[in-house]
Amino acid sequence: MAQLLKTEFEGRVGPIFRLSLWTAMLSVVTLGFYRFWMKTRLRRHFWSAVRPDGTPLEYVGKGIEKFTGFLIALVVLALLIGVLALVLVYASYAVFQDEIEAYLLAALIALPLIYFASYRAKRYVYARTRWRGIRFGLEPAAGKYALYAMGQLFLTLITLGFLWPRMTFKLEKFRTDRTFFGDQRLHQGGKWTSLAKSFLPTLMCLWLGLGMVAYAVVQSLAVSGEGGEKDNAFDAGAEYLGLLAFVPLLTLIALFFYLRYRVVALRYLANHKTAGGVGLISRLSFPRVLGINIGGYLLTNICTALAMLVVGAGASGLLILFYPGLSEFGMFASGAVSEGSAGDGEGLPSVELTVAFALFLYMATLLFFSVFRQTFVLFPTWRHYARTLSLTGGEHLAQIQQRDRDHAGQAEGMAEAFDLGAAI
Amino acid sequence: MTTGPQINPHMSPWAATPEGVRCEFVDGRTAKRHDAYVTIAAGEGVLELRYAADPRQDAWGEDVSGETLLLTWPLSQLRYVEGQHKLRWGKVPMGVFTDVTSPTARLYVRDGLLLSEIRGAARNLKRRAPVTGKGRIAGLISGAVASVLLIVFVLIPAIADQLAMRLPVEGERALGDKTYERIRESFSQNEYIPIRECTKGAGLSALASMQDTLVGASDLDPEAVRLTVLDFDMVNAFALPGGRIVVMRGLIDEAGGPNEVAAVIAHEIGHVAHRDPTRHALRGVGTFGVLSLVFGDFAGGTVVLLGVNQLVNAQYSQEAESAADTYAHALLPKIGVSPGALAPLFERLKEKYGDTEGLASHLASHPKLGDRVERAHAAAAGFAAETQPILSDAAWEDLRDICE
Repeated sequence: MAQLLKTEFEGRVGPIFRLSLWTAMLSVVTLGFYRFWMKTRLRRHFWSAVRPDGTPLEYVGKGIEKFTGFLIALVVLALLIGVLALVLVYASYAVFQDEIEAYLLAALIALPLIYFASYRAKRYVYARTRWRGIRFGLEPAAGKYALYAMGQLFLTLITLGFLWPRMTFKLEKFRTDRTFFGDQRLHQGGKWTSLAKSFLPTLMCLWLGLGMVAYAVVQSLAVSGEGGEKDNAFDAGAEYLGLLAFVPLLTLIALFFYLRYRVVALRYLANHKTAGGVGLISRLSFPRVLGINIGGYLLTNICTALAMLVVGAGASGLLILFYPGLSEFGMFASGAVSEGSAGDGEGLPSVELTVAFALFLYMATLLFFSVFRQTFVLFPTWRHYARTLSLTGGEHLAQIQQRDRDHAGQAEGMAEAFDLGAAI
Repeated sequence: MTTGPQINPHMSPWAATPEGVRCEFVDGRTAKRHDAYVTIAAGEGVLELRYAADPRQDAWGEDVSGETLLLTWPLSQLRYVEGQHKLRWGKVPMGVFTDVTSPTARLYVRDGLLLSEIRGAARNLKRRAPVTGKGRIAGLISGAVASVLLIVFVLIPAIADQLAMRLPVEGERALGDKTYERIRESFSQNEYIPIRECTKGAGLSALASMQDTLVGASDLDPEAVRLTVLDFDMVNAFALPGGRIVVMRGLIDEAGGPNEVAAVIAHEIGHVAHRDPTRHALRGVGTFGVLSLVFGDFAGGTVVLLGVNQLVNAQYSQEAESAADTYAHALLPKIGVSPGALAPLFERLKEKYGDTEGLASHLASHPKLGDRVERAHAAAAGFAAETQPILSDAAWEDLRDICE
């Protein structure tokens, strides 16, 4: 008797919007320090909305452990980033008289750290997730994961992206094979080659783009090589560079295919995951995900713009009340002040106030964007993911035993510092 | 399960259905979900859960099934699972409860009547476990704050000072040029056009003559300093890495004569000679990196906004300012200008903006303006010779028109 257990999703837009707005406001008021508790509350909300076989998932993480984890990571990273940035910029100016080299090198150093941090963050989240009272878990292997990811990335780069699906698969397998539900180890089945086909369109776009760039560069170099006068050479080169005008269109097409690849890969990987006799079935739909993303981001941007118009007008009113010199700007006074185009002089705000205003508007924009994105993009995405997921072999769940609590010491401190899981 | 009552395959068909409300229950040891029949024994202050035990083998190897287990949870120990007290199941509320002595067990109640009975009878549903390790957390917070402060205020400045002394001139110039472009862009009203550099021919040669006189009298290489005038209202002048000294038009407008401008420039040359701007720029690189970490703003919007302001209103340390003043007081007499030339401009600014107010003027915002005026006067007392204007009247007029 193979039981098929469906996943319900229980949640509404209203409560998630209110929670998101309230916690985001608290975060701004506390100069960002509430964000650890914000994340905790949002996760609890999202987790408990997802109910495989009617039983809600639970998130039992705490804000305080995220905060202390962040503090530890902060000290390590402050040392690393503060001193490293300094030395890199110095070296870059001393040797190259520029700073781009410093940024490149910093990115190279940051790359494995990002994989390291993301694994650590996943381990923490799994350790704090429960279903039917049973804990999930991820074995500690962040360092190994970072090395492994670097190897995969290297292979992907030297094959000009051809092995990207292999990297997707291998990294997912690395994590899944170290994931536990209770005492039951998960297993990632399937083959990476099954993902290759759906990546092909993206790969073609990438190669076409690379080819166009290479062609344009080679041609313009060749022209400037044989051409005597420099100006002419530049003009001739510009003709070939005109090819590059197609690059934005190509990027858009590539993005479309890449999103499709992501959805197809996610579905394939889910369908080949097992935990003992329990398996997953996902019926994720690409058109739905595409619709959610396009509609969601459209709504997010419109609502953010409207909210900022209201906030900006309110702030302008206050400003004009105190600085009558600004009245000519009307409801755009706050914008004019933050951009500095209001100038300075009698009856106008000081430099300090200008900076404070620019900061306020910047923070408010970020706040509204994240709140609306949470509501209009993340929420429907979760709902779709949840409703299309089922469990097979439910009768095998009875054999799964509880696992010990993983302290996962520094929580997701490092990922937090890198602003990785910016969503939730 | 969302369907109606089912025959539990594990329960013997001959066993009587236990009394109570059917709820879902997990014991926190296995992932098996039980149908538990729940009653409230209010008199004894307990919640009673009855559910079918898993089949097991007894001591003689016989299969035993159809047993019913009884679990009693004291109502005082009953808790909501944190953050799950407002769950709903469709249109009805749903309660997820646990017991403090078995914190991984869960009871899922969807029956409205039972839920309100439990809410009425159990008093401590929302009580949280006491926070443990407060001391450890406090220690961690103070330790982290101390470490970050140490890094920002001791370690980074120390390294920056060492590196600034070792940076080759070309590197320093490149750093200065980058900073210069950034300042021109950020102070501009227009996003695409940076503030104008003033380059009117006659004014430029007046500026060059002032530069040659000042640098010639100093111990610096003739190439070490470059003067630039920017078309901006601010009463300000500042030095950048690599020896570029930027004078804002506002300062020239405000000055009573060429010697006042020369005195300000002499002060900035002091900063260049001591490599203060380079040190400051390198410190900024490290400090802003750390700050963006602290506030979780990796995009860096906050830091960019604050940072540009910081660059121009560069507050060097009190010692650096005094050292630059001393440098100027020593340099000015060599070109026949009284060190007191610094004073009148400061006094006018003080009159206009007060000692602390008036951020529009960078010079006025330097700490302890009054002290500096006094020191300038004191240094001037030792200057016996007649003060000579560093520029002729005609050249001064040219300089004043440099931005035309």
